[in-house]
Amino acid sequence: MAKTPTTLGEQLAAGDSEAFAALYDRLAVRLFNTARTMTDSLPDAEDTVHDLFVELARSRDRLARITDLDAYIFTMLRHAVSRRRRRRDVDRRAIDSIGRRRAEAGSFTTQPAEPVDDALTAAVATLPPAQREVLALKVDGGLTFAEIAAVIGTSINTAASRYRYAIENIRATLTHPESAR
Amino acid sequence: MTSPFDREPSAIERMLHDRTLQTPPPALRSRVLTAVDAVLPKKVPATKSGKAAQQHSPEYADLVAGTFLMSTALLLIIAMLSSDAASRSVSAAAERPLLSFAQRAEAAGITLDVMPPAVQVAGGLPYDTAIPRQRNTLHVLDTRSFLQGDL
Repeated sequence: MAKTPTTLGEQLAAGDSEAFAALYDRLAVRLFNTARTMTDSLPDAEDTVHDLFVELARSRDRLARITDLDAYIFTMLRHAVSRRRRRRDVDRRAIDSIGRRRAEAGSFTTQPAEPVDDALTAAVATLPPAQREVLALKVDGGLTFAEIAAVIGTSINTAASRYRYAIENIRATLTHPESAR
Repeated sequence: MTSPFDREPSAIERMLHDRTLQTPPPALRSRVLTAVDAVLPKKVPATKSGKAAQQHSPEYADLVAGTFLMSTALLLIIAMLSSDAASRSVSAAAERPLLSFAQRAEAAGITLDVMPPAVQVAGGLPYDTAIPRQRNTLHVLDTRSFLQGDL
């Protein structure tokens, strides 16, 4: 006789749609804000969360065996962000190339990206991806350094120093905005 | 779990934490859950016994009934043929005198030295019990013809 799923992981593995809804309600804010900080884009954050849950549903069989479900899901989020970032870079290069050609031909003038008015958000956006990733997992995801180390596959020391560098860089940008540019 | 690295936040960290955590758009929830539902297997309504009911098409039910009827008819035909063959065998055995192998060979003018090995092994036994066990060799088929008086 099949065992009745008791943990959330087992319910997810059994394909219980209510378990997926409960998981979304529990983690959506943290996942969405982490993705927003990592991608620096609200639409990308939405798409990343969407892709993440679809991927979770597709590979649900393994969820019953996961001991730290949150860390596992944030690891999946990180991979989803990386995939999206790569895709976005390819798209951006293609669009820039087309825009330059058309601008040279006089069809239209290229517009610079919309400036970010929030100084803090702008400072976060200038961080290197590795530092921004740790910052997002720590501040928006609410993970501990031990969990972050597990998610990004480094030591706790590395995760903590990336976070420290990120804070220092933000401080420098806010104190001397012109030097950060 | 916390570690020694999880210390008190600095001013910048407090600013980052105070930055309002943005609530995802309400439409995202339905978009995500609809996409998840599309991936998950469809639920089958449960029966009173608590087991999921099997959903079959009417064509499937017709196929099952037809197969059952054909199987029953085939079994009946086989049973009838078997009983007919058995009754014939019994009556034939009753008509024939039960001769020993040696007597049959002698009556046919065949010496045992030229008999195939299977026949020699069967020698001395009443053919009605010895032959059916070895029906799958050519020698025995020939032997059966011989023993039944066809040779």
